[in-house]
Amino acid sequence: MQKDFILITLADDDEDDRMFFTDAFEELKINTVVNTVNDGVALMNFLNAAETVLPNIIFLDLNMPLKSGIECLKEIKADSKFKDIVIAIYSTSSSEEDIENTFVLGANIYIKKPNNFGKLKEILSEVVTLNWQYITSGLNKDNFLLRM
Amino acid sequence: MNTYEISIELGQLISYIKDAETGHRGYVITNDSLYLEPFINARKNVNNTFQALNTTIKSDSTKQEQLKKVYDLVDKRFSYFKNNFSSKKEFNDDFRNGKIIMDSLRTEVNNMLSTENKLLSSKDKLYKYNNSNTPLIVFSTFLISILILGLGYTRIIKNYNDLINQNIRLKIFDESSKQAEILGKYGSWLLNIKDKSFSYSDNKFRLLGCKPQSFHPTLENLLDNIHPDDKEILTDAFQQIEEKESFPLIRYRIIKKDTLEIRHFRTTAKVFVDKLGNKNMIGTTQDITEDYNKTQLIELRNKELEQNNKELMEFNHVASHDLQEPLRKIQTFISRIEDKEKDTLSESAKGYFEKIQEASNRMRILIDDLLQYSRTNRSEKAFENIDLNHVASNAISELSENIAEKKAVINFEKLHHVQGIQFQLEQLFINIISNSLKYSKTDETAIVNITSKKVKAFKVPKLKDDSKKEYVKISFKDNGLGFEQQYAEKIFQLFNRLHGKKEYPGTGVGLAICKKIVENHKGYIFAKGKPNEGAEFEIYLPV
Repeated sequence: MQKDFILITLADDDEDDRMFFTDAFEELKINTVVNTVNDGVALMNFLNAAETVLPNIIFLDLNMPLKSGIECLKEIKADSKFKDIVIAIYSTSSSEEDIENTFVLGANIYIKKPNNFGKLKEILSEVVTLNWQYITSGLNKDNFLLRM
Repeated sequence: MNTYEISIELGQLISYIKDAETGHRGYVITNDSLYLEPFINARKNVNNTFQALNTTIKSDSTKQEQLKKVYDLVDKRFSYFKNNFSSKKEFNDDFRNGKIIMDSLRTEVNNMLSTENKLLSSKDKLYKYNNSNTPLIVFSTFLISILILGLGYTRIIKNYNDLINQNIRLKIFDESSKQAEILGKYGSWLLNIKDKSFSYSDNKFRLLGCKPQSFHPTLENLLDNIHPDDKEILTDAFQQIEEKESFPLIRYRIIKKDTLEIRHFRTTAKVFVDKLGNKNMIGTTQDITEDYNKTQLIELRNKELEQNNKELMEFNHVASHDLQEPLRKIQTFISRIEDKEKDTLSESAKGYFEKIQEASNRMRILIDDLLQYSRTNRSEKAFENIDLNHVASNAISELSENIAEKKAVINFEKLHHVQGIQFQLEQLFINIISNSLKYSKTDETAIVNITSKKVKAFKVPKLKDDSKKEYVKISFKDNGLGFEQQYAEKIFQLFNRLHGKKEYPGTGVGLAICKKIVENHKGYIFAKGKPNEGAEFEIYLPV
């Protein structure tokens, strides 16, 4: 793993959202390497491939064809080799049910996709620069949903 | 008793000896052997008498001794009966000695007789005593018999009356159960397990569409009226009587004989052993067609409701996700154009662009409000004891920016506790307060006074509840623009607005949500308004 770069993977089936995401990181000028996958199956294939360098943070859309974000979350949390990866849920929905479910399943943070590009950049920069080691030790439901 | 026999025998003994004496004397005087005959007979008779006496007194040793003495004396007496005397003196001596012995013999016999007489008199006394008691005993026996007879009679009469009463009760019960069968649409049947005799109550026949007792029910004609598809249910059930002496609860259809109408029946039965040891199966069959139809209808409605609910949930999902997604993208693109390209747009394009922005913002608010409204429906959260003071201060802090902007004053003190859902009640307070803020006067400090008090339902006619149920009445009174009283109900309807969008932006969902929350809490909400004086919202929540 390159020490100076934060490796980021986004799993999202929506082309526009992937574009917003990569554009935002480009404009942010943080040392990140962003790669995107189009669905849950592609994400798990990528993570399980031998040559893959595991990402530091996975942004996970919930509503995806073939394999949903929830299913991916379960698989990732069930495999100890992924234990250091931060999981950020990245979804249009902010239903109580989804928030509750993903929290219980062990996601680290819940981001509701914003409707403003400026806001998106703010949020992504906040999530990437968070000191995760510190945050994950004191996980609680009150700050699970990122509010900005 | 042998006392009499002894006395008689003793008397005879003396008499036989006298006969002997007389005979002997006659012979001595006449020397005629004719006189000897009674003498010889007497000797024989005396011996017989002794024998008889001996057997009679065998068990009594004192009497035996006495008898022995008598016997000795008799023996002695007979020794003086001689046939020839050598001299006159000898004759005289014998004669005299004979008399002496005879005297002592008499004495001895008299002794014995007197003993017997004593015995007899004591027995007589006992007898007399017994005799004197006899009437008493007979009389008391008679009395007791009468008494027993009387008791028996009353007992029988009582049992008889009981039987009559029981019979009357049985008749009444029979009559009422007949009525019940008709009203309850059920009939009963009885099957003797052993001899397979079968009987139906009158109403059982009626349920089958037949005249009461118009045919003789048997295990064979049992299936005659049953719906062809359900015959097996009956056969299986009656099979079970044979095998396990039990009967399952069964449901089946019959075809009524008179109207050929299909009816739904339910039957259950139980083994009953009567006092004579007969094993019977007592069954009840009920016509449950109405219930069945109602259940069918309810099930259908339930299915429809479930379907509706599912559709609503789907709509909810569509609204929350699918509808938001394109809107979010539109807005994100708008924000990107705004950031990067705004300066290059022509003036008119800028104007249109702003309209697009406004419209998309409004759509966002609409979707959010709609979502909130539909989520208010879901009240699966349990009710808790909620401190309304807490609710009010949370609502105020949530609205702090808005309040500060309007320089409004929100007053509340010592509110009550209610049973409710915290977040919904907070939403209720927020919506009502922000409504007051929105329609506040520009030239006056906006004031909202929140008060609460406990009231009994029957004291508030508009609740239309005459019970003594207790409610907390929460009042929100403002000094804002108010409204015409005729709109007091309309303002709670979804998407209903009293003002143009331009003057007062809004979706017409806020107060509809309030109404929904209050209804979720089984409460009531009312609005009172006077144009330019202010509005008052009254909320009644159960304690």
